[in-house]
Amino acid sequence: MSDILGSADVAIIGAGLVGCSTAYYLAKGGCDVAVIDRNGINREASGANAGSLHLQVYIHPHFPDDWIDRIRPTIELMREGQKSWATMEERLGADCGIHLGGGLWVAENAEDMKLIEKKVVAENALGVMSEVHDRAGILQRAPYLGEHVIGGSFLVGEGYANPLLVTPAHVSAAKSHGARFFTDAPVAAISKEPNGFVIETGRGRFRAGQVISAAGAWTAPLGRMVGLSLPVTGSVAQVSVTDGHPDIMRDHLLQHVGLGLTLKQSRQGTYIIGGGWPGLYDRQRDRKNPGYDSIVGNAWVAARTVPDTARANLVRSWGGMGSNSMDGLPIIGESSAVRGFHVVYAPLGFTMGPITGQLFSEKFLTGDASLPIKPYTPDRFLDRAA
Amino acid sequence: MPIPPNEALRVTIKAGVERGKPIRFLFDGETIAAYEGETVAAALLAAGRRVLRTTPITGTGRGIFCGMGVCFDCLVVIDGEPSRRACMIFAREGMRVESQLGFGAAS
Repeated sequence: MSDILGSADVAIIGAGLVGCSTAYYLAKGGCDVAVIDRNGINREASGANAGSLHLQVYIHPHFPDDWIDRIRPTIELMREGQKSWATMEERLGADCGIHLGGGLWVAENAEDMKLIEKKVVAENALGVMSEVHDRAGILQRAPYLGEHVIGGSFLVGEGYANPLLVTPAHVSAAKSHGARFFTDAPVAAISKEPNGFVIETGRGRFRAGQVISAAGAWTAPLGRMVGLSLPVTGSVAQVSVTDGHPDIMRDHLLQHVGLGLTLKQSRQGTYIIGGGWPGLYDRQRDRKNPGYDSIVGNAWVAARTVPDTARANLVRSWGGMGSNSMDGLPIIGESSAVRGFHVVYAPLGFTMGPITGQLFSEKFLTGDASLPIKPYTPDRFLDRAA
Repeated sequence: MPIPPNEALRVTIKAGVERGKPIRFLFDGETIAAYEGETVAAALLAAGRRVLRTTPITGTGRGIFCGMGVCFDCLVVIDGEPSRRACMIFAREGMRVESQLGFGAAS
């Protein structure tokens, strides 16, 4: 490969929300930034997710006993993330379809209510003022809930955004600050040279002083190119959308403990049904397909929790490549083993994408981030074989 | 937008193709002539009815777009049931079809 694709002081690999928000903050801070992607902008999880904006932490009945301690660091991150979403449209000067009507976790049994209570105590201690409600209280917030719900938590400031608008809005803003985008350029190899890196792509060679991995579910293979273990695993999750119905959900994000549900109603009245139900990965074609069993199961939980959804017609289902890190935490920062190689990765990448991009860029530009990001260093995986 | 009825929009009858038996159904109270085997959408198109519903938010007219069940743009109310795809349902004798206004209310 002798073609030259280009060069930049900083090359970000991955044009999803994490990569594009990082590009925005770095370019705004005066960096010469290029974003390289194997396909196009917003083509994977950033564009295919259900658009939930989480502020309450994720809980599940099968979590290990120490889950609340493991999760605690991300509460702060999500709290700051919510502020980032609340000001995003003004910051970027673009419609991102953001609606923050509040959010609920609901439970059907006493054990799940205990999980919610424990979560709320941990959140309140860190300034996230979620509230526990019994059935009567939660019905006051959300009269649309079905008969099985015995209670839940409510938090102001959660909601949803339009995944088809958010990343492109960051791209436009990043471009206005001089960031450049190179698409259809799959990265095949990265080599470190005395003055930086050479990135071999399908469209030619790219030279960069520093490299930032923002590869989402593909973070692990990218790390291996420079000999680093970055344990991130991908899995296909699916989303369905119905036809429109009169608005009853008040711009809420609704989640169900245990049965797997995120539910919201768009401004067009359509129900967006998600919650991490597994889709099917067609490895050969790299397609993320929805599966019939998950469509039915997910719709069943939706109808059980919000009976009005039962009269909606399913219009479309799709899959996206979700991912998580080995310890469930973000990965943010430079590798001390490969100087000049940085990682920005966020589980729950849609909610966390903008704040992780912001925090990474603060650290990159000034040497200091507004929240402690040390727990997220890629160095925590250094003792693992790549 | 009213357009003149146009029989040429129906399937052409040539060797090996036979029309179904003539039937009638109601669209917003008016009688529409159709043939068995035609979808509601096809019969309405031949009858010059392009606008089958209005959107919930802006009230804009919508009609047949994909014609194959995917786009959900041709939703009508059939025998009182809202949000039926006109392109996926065969016309039947005496069927009561209504344009759908906004969220599934019949006109």
